Amino acid sequence: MQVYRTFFKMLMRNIASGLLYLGIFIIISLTVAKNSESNDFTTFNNAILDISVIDRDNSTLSKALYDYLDDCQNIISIDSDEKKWADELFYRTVDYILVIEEGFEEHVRDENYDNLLTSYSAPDSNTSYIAQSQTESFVQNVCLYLEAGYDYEQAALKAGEISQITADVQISNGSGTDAEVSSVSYFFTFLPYVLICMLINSLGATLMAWNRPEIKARTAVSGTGLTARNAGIIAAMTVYSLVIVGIFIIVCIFSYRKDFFSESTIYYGINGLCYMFVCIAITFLVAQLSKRVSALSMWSNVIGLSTSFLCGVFVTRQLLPDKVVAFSKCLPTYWYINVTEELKYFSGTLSREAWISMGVQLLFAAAIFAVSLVIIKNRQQKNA
Amino acid sequence: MSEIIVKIENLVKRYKELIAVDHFSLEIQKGEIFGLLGPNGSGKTTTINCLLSLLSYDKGHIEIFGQEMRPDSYDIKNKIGIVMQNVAVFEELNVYENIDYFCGLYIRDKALRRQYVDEAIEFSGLAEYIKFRPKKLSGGLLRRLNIACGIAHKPELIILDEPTVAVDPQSRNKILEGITELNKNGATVIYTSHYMEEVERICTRIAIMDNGKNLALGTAEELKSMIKNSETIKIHIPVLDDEHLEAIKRLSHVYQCSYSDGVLITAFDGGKHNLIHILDYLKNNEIAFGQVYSELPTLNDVFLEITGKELRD
Amino acid sequence: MFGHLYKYRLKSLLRTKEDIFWCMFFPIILCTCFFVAFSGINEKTNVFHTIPVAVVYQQDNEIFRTVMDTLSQSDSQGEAFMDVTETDAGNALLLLHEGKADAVITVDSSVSMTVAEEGINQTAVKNFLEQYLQKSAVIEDAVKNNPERLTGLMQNLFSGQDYITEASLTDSSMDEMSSYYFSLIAMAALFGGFLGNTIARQMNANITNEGMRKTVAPVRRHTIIAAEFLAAYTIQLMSMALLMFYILCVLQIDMGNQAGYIALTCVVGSLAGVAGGMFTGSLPVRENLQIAIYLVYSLISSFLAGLMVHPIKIWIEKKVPVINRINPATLIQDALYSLVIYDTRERFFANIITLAVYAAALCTLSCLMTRRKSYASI
Repeated sequence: MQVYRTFFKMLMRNIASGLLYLGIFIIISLTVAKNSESNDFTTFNNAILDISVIDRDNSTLSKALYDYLDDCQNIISIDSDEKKWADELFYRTVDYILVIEEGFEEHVRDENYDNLLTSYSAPDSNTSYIAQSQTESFVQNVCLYLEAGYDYEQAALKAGEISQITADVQISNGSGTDAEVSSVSYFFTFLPYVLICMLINSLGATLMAWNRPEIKARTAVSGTGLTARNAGIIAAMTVYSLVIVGIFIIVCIFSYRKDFFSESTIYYGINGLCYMFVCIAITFLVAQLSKRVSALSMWSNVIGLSTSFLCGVFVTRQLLPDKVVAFSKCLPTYWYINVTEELKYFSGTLSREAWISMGVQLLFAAAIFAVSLVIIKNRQQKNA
Repeated sequence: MSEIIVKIENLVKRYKELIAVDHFSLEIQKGEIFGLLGPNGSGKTTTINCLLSLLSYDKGHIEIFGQEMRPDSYDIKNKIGIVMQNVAVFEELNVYENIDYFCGLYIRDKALRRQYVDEAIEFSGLAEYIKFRPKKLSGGLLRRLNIACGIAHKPELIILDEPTVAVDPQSRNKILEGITELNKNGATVIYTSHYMEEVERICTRIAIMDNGKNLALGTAEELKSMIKNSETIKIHIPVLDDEHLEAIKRLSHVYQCSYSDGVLITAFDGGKHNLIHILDYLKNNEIAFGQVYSELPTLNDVFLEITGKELRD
Repeated sequence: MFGHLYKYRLKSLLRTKEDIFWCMFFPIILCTCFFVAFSGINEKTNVFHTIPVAVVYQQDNEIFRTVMDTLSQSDSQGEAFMDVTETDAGNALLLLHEGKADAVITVDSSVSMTVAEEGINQTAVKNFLEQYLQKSAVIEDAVKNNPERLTGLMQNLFSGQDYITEASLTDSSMDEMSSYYFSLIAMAALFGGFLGNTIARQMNANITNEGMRKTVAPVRRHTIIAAEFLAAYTIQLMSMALLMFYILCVLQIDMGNQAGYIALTCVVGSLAGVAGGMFTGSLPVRENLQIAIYLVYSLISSFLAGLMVHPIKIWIEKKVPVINRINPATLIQDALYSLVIYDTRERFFANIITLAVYAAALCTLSCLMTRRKSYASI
């Protein structure tokens, strides 16, 4: 109890730097989550892009194409001087520029498809392909209608009509009801990175003070046994981490009032708690291995960033190479993401796999603890 | 009168409300080992930092080697060696590299520098440790490295600010011997400490400092003679009645006398054969007594009398 | 004197593990993470893998069945677009939830699909369905109005003709992933600040004891500052060279053919980094706090430049563009980015000059703080 109380008191002394990290990470999480909502490029809800169409042909067909794109996207007029386009793309006035070349209509009629349209897109845009494919299918449909014997006007009109046809997609989550991805999910997806950086940096520093050989020796010769000492420390760490997670959840409630109060949030929370134990265990281990407080930020960034990249926190898992995904099963973050992925389309019950994934995280936590305890024991015997 | 190396006139340094150095004046002559004695927080280090132009000060004038000391007085700085109170060495450099680095700030000639660095290593007894990083050195060795870094360039004026704090007696002796040796080789030394024994042992002149003021100045003997007390005699006496105590108080040169717990403590303000006089009185009156101690005044007594408090913390 | 100071500064910085980690090894570790994480994207988005789908016929549709049969046959590269299982509605959903089918296509009066999650394969199926629906509409129309044209029409139906020429304003190639590496280079440049931080700290008498000793030595302040700065900058440039070597030669990432300009960006960016660190190192606060301040500053700066999630930078460009004009990491990132989209070098040099001014300002400030000769308190 004494260990717990003292440890907690020391943690509270360091609260200033803890709050600094907390503030920064909350801002980062919110920004990232907000951003992902509008930019997740695996979703079906196509974003409305800012595009430009330069019509050099000025024909019936080219105007039809322009009108069609105007319906689908937000057209912004820019200078027709090619030299200035770089600026537009650089400053993101537009994501995509389509040039309807002179003679567009003629070439379509002649079935000479070489120099119809030219497109420029911001090289780092992940959404400009949407405008590209809409244009492609429109022109293709026009060609088909011309083939079917319509004139330009009619063909363009009909092509515009059928280009609007979309496939009806339902998302099923096992219970048969539809679900939408809630914004809470993005917030929780980034939790692993935030939590691990936070805990290693704020908890680690206090923990290391306890690992100083003199303090350790003093505790070791006192009536408090090693087990009691570690139990006290772990209890204090857990309470502190709960406070941190608690603050995150409160922030989450305030940011996503509407989405927050659903059943899935409870599961997100439970999953977060499981991962919290993993983070505590990692912090515990890292504090044993570091000699200086300054080493903590190195550890936190290396562990935080590498697991986040490898396990699908920053880059969605579907895009990772299969080998990486297979390897990442050895990392606890993989199992955390397993659950959040399932919860994205959740309504109703949680699958057995998800519960297993949470269990695996706890096993990871226990294993990492065990390793740290072995290290502590070994060191103590060596020093004795 | 020989050459004056350091001259401080009316130095005043304030930290907001607190007056750290209060109209402090001092002259140090060539060839001295000058001791600046005072308890922790008395303003010794602040005075030294002002002397070195590390700190700005509110009032006063400082001259070293007859020239005004300013932050860009590189000629003066070149002739000063400084050993800080805190160990100031690079963790990333080993013993040899540290000494070479700091020596190199003063000595440009490479061959000469090598010679000086070797001599400093020899002097500080670090020859076995030249490849060690500071982390691996014991407390005493680290202090010696700290000193070696400060004196390798053979400065004419060496300032040592509490160089023996937290050092074991053996290392302390070695350090003190070293300082005496540096002085013999021609360096003027300013030595600050709150250990009066050290100051008494090596310093030719001593200034006593407290609350930023220069309270007394002189050789150890001079300082001691400044105070009333010249000798204190303690005698274990099982029984002594008040009548005899009064009689002892009336002995010549006794200015203070007390008896408690079977110990008679008598303070004298001069005179010779005081011990004989008091023992004669006891014998003549057939008073039984046990152990007898005679103590000469220490700098602590001097400090106690001037400030009314003990020098030791 | 200069050489002596430079030599020892170089030596002791190279042995300062924390600094070397941040400026030399951390960018390489992160770069490896990027490489591993992104290496799958091209393969996964551009190379087709057979997609398992379950099809439920609520109503028979001969044309759709024929199309599906065609698509389940291997193409010239030996891979089929889809692996089709015909089944009933209940079983199809079971397959979907067991992960044995990526999508369930239900055929009744129209065609619709059900998925369990959103993803690349699901999007591909959706696109296919839309194509199918649109083309059927054309054909229906033709059957009704111009049946004689039907044959010719059928021939062109899946022609796969490209109508759009994708052009680039410069001849540099770049994809979305390149921008992550640009941000990484920006971060690496800023991390040179850890070196700047250390040297400044060890020069200031009011922060460290070493600084005190340097201050009382008979060496001109500007000599010390210049030598130490140059030493830190040397190591930073070495780190950048190592990183660029790693990116270009080991990971073989295409950065275009602008080597000279990229090198210039690294050189100026590093200058801004070291100067920034020197500035925080001159602040009269505890060592740990100085490092924390710098770490937070450099990571936030990189974060805003899109290091963790690239669209952040674009989002800022649209909402608060001024941040992108002054944030040092974005300036570096944008300088590299401008090489890819601009034919001219005005934007590039505008960024480089801003960076240089920024570096000069910080250098001046920290010099003023370090040059202060006597301190009010130590």
